[in-house]
Amino acid sequence: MSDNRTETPTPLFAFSLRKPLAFAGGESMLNIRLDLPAGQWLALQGASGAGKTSLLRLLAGLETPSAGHIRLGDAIWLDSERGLSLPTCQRQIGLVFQEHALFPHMSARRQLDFARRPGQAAPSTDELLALVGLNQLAERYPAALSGGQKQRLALARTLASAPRVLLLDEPLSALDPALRRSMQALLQQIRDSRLVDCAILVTHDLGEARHLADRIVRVHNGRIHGDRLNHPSIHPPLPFHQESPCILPAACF
Amino acid sequence: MSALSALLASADARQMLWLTAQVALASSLLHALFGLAIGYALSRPSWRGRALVDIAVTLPLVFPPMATGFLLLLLFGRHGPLGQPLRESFGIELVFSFPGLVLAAFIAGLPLAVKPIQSAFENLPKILAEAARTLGKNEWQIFWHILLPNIRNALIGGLVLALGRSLGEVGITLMLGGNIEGRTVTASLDIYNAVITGDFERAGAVSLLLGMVTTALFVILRRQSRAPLGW
Repeated sequence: MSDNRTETPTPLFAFSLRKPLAFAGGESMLNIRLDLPAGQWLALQGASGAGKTSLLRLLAGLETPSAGHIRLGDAIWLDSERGLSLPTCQRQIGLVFQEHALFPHMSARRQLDFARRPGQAAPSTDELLALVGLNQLAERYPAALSGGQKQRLALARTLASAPRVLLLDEPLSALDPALRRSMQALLQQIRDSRLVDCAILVTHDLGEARHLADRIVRVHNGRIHGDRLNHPSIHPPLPFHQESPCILPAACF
Repeated sequence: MSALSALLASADARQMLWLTAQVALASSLLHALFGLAIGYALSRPSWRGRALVDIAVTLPLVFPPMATGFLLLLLFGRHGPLGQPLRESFGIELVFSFPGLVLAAFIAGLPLAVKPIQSAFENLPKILAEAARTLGKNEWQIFWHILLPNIRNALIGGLVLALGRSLGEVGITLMLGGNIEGRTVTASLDIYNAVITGDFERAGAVSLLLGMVTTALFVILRRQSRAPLGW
């Protein structure tokens, strides 16, 4: 594992997770341990079936690990040794699904209103709709939105729930290049505005990872095969939408 | 139409129709409550007793109504294993009474309410509930705000089918209700009684009325299924 990190800020979000899974390379144990300092955006890269989406689902509490520990600040979300596991609804996590997972019976505005958590500060529904450029389409239902609009609505809905940790599962994968660029700019805006404490972004696109993440972690068969900080001065962002190979060469790091 | 007017002018017919409406309303409320609960439970993956509940709910679809009625009569009769404790502990007499009619309509229509609801829950993408969980919603909020609005058409369809079956129910009603004039004669039994006594005019008028009600329900159902999801 290569690592050229020069500083080790105090981790805000720390986890260590194990779960046997069927990977592209056969049965194996997902075994990932990572620490994220406040404000960090981490890109997870790896081939399909490497365990990236499974990791997000484990962090969100949608799947149960065989062993593990998750901590956000002083709050313990999971401690398998103590038999502690917070249900998904009590984890301050926001997951943007690859399939959007929009509620078909709710308008764009209602999706955001529904997502709000009582007592949690988040931008208003109108502010979020304006942020993602959907303020003119607030009363539309998901069936009347394009793929890019659905993706932006899914992101706005997640932000409306005031998550401290944002998980993005290939948020730009289904978009055409022009929409990818606009969505990338939106994600950069969200990162810069510090709406969330930290984020994990699953992407196959190295250009996207270099644009959006402070750190890039490569996963293969459920294990970390590369972990390094993303220095734009050393690795200038690639032209956007340049697909990375399935297994990234060491030169990418 | 004149037969229909004559029917509605008759006090005993109005009483019979009012009784039928009360039974239909009570059984529909029970179908909504139990249809949702059982349909949701059966849509969940394997749990102990699931197969038994599935069989018990489905049985009235395939079991002859008279036999179902006789079985219920044995169970809920004055000295039956369920009827006796109900009478002694709660003072509830099911046989030859209004509750007996409601039970007959409920049992007859239950599988038609449960099955579409169960199927709709099973076909709902799991990711919707998962997304709601990540937004901090608890299981009750998810059921009420996400699952229920998205199975609305199946719920309405199931309830209308169950109501249609309940309105047409004769076999179980005859056994549990006893066909007592003025007390337990519902519309379908009234048609049966009218035919037996040769009063074809009355049988035709009640049939016409039942047909109009069920057709109206069918039209409402078709319109509802084209409306946007939600409440």
